[in-house]
Amino acid sequence: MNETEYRRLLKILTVRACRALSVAASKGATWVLAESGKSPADYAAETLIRWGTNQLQFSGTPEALVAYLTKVMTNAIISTLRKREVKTSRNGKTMLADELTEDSSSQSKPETLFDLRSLMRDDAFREALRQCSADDDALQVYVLAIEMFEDTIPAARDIASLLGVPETEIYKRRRKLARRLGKHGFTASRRRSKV
Amino acid sequence: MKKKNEENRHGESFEESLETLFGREAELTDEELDEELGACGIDSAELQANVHKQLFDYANHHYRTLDRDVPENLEKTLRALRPPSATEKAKAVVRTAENLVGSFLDTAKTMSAELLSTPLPTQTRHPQFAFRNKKELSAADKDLLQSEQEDVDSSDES
Repeated sequence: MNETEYRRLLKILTVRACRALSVAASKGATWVLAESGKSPADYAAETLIRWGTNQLQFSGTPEALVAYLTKVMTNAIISTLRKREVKTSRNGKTMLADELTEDSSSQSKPETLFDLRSLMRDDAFREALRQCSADDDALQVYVLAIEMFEDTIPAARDIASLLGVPETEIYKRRRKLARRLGKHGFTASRRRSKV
Repeated sequence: MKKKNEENRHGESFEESLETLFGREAELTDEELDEELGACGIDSAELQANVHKQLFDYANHHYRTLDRDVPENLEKTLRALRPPSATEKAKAVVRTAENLVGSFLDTAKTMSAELLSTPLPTQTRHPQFAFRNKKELSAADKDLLQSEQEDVDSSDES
């Protein structure tokens, strides 16, 4: 990879961390982001350190490396969010992520936290999506369309076909929703962390 | 092993959710990535500097101070993320200024060429136009106008 590709990799990792954390932060009655003690940049840096120091074994193309590191970092985020004290700290106690321990109770199992169908059924997450799309009919329709696919994970073309719009329009709405949820999640998190 | 597999499955499920909702990050252009980071309150240049510092500190703590070689991939990443030095920043400012001045001069050249190539209004081509606001005409002016008038009249007759 050349230097430009490394800089792009950092941005991609950080955007993924932002998305993952803003979804996690929007889910549930309280916000988890500030309390986990790590910022999106910290997750990206950690992943680059693991890669840079050969703690991760990978051989493949630069494109595949980006996908691989993104996956590794997402797993690291999930692993942090599984820890018991992240939940405890949602009630006001602040702890660093490195001090956290695993929670094996069924309540925090990631399949209930991060599976798309569970997410779309979660009241707090739906409320966050509602707030993000309140002034935008196209976004509201997009969110509704995802909710309509009860048993499957819809591809962009499935949603486009359902809505009768070009596939590119779905990509546009996805990017918009990501930006808005990012802004929403982080603003709310900061607001809470100041309290 | 079972736990690892379970974690991977959860990771895949979460990735699938994120991609369905927001699309793939790798498909975003650099501008779109910057825009999304900006929406989350992250400045790209600050992000690069912040992560570079974390990696730099790690390399110092775990390798350089122990007199060990920094692994190649970490070294490459550090080099790529290194924030520009004061000299490089100054050079960039000079380059930007030069580009601005160059672009200004180019615009001026283009506009003056356009002006010169634009034909003048017909009336301005006749000497009479130059005397339109002159209150008192000198004898030389009168002679010039007279000769012009004669030219016009003669061309009308022919």
